[in-house]
Amino acid sequence: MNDRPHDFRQASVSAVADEVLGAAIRKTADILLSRRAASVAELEGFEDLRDWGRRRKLEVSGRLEEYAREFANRVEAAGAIVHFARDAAEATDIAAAIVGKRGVRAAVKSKSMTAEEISLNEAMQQAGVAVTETDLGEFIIQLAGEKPSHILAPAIHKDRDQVAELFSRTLGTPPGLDVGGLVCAARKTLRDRFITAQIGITGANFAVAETGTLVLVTNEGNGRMTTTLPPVQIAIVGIDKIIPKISDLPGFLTLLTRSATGQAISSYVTIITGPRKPGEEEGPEELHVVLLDNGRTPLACGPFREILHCLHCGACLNQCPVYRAVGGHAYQSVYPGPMGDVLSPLLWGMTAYPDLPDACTLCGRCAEVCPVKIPLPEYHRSLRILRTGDQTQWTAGATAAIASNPLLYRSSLGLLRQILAHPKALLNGRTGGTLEAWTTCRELPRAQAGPGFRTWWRKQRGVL
Amino acid sequence: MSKSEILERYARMARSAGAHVEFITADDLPGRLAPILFELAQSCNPAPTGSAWPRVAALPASGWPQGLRESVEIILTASGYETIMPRKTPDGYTWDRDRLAGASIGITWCEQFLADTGSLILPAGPGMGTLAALLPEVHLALSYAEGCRAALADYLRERGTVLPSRLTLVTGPSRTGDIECTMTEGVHGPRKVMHFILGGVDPETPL
Repeated sequence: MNDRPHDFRQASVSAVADEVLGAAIRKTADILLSRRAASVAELEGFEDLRDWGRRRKLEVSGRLEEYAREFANRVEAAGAIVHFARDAAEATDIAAAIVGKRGVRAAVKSKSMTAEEISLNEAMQQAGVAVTETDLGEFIIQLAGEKPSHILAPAIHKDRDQVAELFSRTLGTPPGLDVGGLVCAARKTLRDRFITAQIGITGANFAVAETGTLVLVTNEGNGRMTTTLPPVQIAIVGIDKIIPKISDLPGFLTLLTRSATGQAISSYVTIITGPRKPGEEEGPEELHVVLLDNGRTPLACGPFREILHCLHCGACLNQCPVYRAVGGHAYQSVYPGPMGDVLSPLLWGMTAYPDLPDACTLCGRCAEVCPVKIPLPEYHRSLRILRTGDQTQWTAGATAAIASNPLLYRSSLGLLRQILAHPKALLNGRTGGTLEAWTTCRELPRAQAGPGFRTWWRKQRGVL
Repeated sequence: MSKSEILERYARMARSAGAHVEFITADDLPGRLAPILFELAQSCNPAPTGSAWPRVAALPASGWPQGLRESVEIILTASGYETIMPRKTPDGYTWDRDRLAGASIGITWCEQFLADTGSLILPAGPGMGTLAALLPEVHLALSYAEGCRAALADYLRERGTVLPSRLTLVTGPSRTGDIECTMTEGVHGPRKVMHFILGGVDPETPL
């Protein structure tokens, strides 16, 4: 990670100005939101399921180390090799050692945010391994050398003509392919890489403690290919992905896919318990599970514990008025949107992401759609307080003092009416720019013409 | 839910996920399968070559009910198709992957499927050849109507905590919306998923 603080405010200025990006983000977000809404409405008891999901996640985050140990034991019993990684550096060292030992040159990877979190691709590159992203969106932005703009649809900021040009330049396809042709071209290229890859790299959407099972959810089938064709699989699993029992899986799958894309289930759910068994013709001979902490254990004991419950469905992003205006790039983090505003400063430090908690209007829409009811608006507020100290007490005290003194209250109302009558003339240039930042893009409410409420009320009382 | 209600829900959910579901009898199988094989062999391969699809079908070696795999093989041979299967060796089974990757259709037995989500369940095991349901252009699954379960929770309860190395749920074709949110089938896995349910009556067909 870069030591320089990430400046969201500055990055968002250029992001807002990019109208193509904005339109693409809002189109995608609207499609996903309307599918989610329809899907949730059709299912009886989705609200109860959200409460259930939160309770099950609280159970795990309350005893995280215990569950991590149980999961690790079960994974080993199933024949896989478990590695514990305290931080990103340990995790990438483990992965580098595995590929080094086997002389791996080519890897295929199924989209994983946890792998992004530890910058695994860069580490693999240094170890001399060419990693191919196999999710179509991730493949496109990998070819373009760009960053994802949406966690579910990473290449949504590129239109078909841009992708056709990119494929023609990098893969040598004929120019001007339509979407179907582009998908076919990607299928051909990626099919070859799947067959020849010496290793498959994945994350996990869920890790079941009771059975040592990894669960991968994809629509394209790349998760299935990555975990069936190469002879070795490395799964990078954050310990927050653990769920207690296999009987918890159906509920969590429903919460995830309905919240993410509105599907009753994704096209493929791959449920992996250990490597290939004797006599089987498919699946990796060797399965490595890298259990990543990277700051999660301390989070589980602190006031932001529930951020670990996140299923990475992306519903909060689609709802967020700030995300919808700026898109994913401006956040400069693997984790964008409301959940990222909270998680990025907690994982990488407030000094690295000082203004992300400000990327929020506290409107509360993210909390309304979160499948496990993470109190995201409260967390944003708490992070601001953590950063600047609690200033609510003196402002509340001052307001109380003014309101409880009739003379003071009346005169400050009069003053306020004067200010609101001529806001710019009175404020600009007199407040050292503090209020100008507000008034350049906002209108203060206009003072109503006429005598004002108190004068009017006195008259009414006279009439009555 | 009654048995026919569960089947009805399965058909509705699987069809809404883009799968083709048909209720047939075992006697109908040659009559239904042959035209599909013919049409597939005539249709043009959209990528990589643009030539016609090869007449190659991939089949799992194990897990079939008595005699069914042999019946399917006879239909395939009669339609001019070559059949490839996981080969038995002293250490277990093995696929010829290059030939598998060039197959145009994979035909698999599907013991159980889920009404709640319209999903096929494919467990791994020696000779179970789930790659036949992944690499070819078209996946055709065959089941008995009795294999229908209401929901994943029921299936998992029945199974207990002993799981196979890989358990795959398949719901409709492989698809992506990553370019301009345009839904496109067949990005990595099958472009088309078909399911023939033997011995069941289509709940949507009036008797």
